[in-house]
Amino acid sequence: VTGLRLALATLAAAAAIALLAPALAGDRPLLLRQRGALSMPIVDGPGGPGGDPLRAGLGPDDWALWPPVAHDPDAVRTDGAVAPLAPPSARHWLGTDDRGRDVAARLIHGTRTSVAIAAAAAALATALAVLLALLAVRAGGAVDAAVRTTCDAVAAAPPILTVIAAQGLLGSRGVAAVIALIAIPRAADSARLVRARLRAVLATPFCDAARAAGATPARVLVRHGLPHAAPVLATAAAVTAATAVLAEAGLAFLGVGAPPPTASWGELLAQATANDLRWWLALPAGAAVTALTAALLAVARRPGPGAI
Amino acid sequence: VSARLIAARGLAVLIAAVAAYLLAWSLAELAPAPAAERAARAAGVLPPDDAGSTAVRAALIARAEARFELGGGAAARIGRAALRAIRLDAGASWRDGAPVAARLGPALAHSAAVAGPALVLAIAAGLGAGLVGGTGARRGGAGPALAAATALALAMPPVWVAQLVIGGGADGALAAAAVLALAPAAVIAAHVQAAQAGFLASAVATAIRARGASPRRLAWHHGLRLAIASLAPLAASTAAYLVGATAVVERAFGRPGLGRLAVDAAAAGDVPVLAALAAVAAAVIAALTGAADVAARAADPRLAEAP
Repeated sequence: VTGLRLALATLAAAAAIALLAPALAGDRPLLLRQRGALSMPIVDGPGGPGGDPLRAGLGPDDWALWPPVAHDPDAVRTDGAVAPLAPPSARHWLGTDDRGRDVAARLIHGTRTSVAIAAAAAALATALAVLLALLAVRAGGAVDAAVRTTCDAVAAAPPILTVIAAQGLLGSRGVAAVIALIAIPRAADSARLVRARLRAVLATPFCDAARAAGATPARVLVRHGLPHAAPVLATAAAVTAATAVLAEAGLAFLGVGAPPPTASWGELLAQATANDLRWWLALPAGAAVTALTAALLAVARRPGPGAI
Repeated sequence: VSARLIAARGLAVLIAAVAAYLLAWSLAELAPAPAAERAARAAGVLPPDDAGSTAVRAALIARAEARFELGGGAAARIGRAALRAIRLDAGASWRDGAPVAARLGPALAHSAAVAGPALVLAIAAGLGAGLVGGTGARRGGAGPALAAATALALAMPPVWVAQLVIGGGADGALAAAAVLALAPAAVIAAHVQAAQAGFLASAVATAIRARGASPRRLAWHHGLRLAIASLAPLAASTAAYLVGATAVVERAFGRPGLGRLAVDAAAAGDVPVLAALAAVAAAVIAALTGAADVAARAADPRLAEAP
């Protein structure tokens, strides 16, 4: 139970960081009082200087409330005061990458990338799995056999290689393609589990009772079958999300993930490999992937429902 | 294990490879640009934008169409791919016209040098740790520790493990194989641990003990046979993981192989190479799944009667 609580706390923290990333890391103040006027530059968006130019322009009566990591994750600095690949310092808590970008800021915004891809892949895989399982169980016979065989084949597809090959074959890149290509093999795997669960539920006496009371086959399936498949779906969704986090990191490491300059944990790992394994690039990003994946897998392993 | 079973699994490998090859060619037909234009672009002879003379562009595309036999509609191109598949001819790379087999062979050898030992290592380490953990779990010993180690191994991205290993000074093919083996070994260990604990608590184990078998023989002889038999359902996912993660681990260790070939081919849009890679990946996964099935039937005679 303690492990599960820790996992849920990790997931909540990751979700909060993902949602609040612009407020946690950025070069625009959360709140600014300048020349007597109060504003919220982080809400107002770009317009006027941010970061160091804004700091330099503040008068004696002006003040600004900055994000905890007051650096833009995409701001490239190749010269000047901040050297590329600078180790951690008071100014850059986790150092800078090979383009002088703040690693802490990119780590925080990378959380948003990983969480978004994991959540989208899990949602898409779950929706597809439910549709496929309902189709297989409702139609039965040859359709059921076809869905089962197709799912067996598709579920065996290796996620990373599938995404790489499909991007080259279809000539399309981007986050949406990555999400879809991670979700489809996982949907096939989840559909097999949901189908098996639905078939077990439909063979129970309470489903017989529902049929005897006049419920249509579709109603029995959706009203009585699906709720009992929800725990299986939740487990499958957690595994899909964990798979997506790992796959995204692997794809970004290979340079075929989210397009630049999107901040990504895998991109930080790729920079570490390309730059003599600088520890401030490798350790935080690797630890972040491990923590989020471990939390998702711990949720997936929680005690499941009893046998039907 | 009958020759018929092995032949059936061999046929499944062939079918999987051909199906993946044709599926890849079919997917390529969904791309917005015509195949001949993509081939010319992959060869680098076509400007990336619509710059240049229209007549020159048309000539370059026509030349690529003739060189790579890309004329006709999608059905004709997929049909020609099917004929090539029957002849076991993967065609020529769109990038430089070299035979795909000449590109694939060396890359496959490099990847096999890492993935092969990784598979052996994963099975050996997973079986050993699972049997120790499953036997220890009955006595309240190594079970929880193994569960924690398994959870950590599954959560760590292979690239990060590779970086930690390289940072520690190990940089050879065996180190790459060990990194690649970590997650499959953890899955196998967890599976075997549960199977072993269940077996030792079963009436079958009690009966074997009653006939005079020592605890060691019970755990390591009878338990091992059943553990091997229980691995068959993991074969497909383990094979898929090895095929996919090899690309990442190879890159992390700076080694050539199928991973680099796939990334380069995808960047160039080299469909013949990608289709051949899909066929190889499907064949490897089907072959490992079939081999696991055959091994399971050999280890557990009760499975021999299954279809």
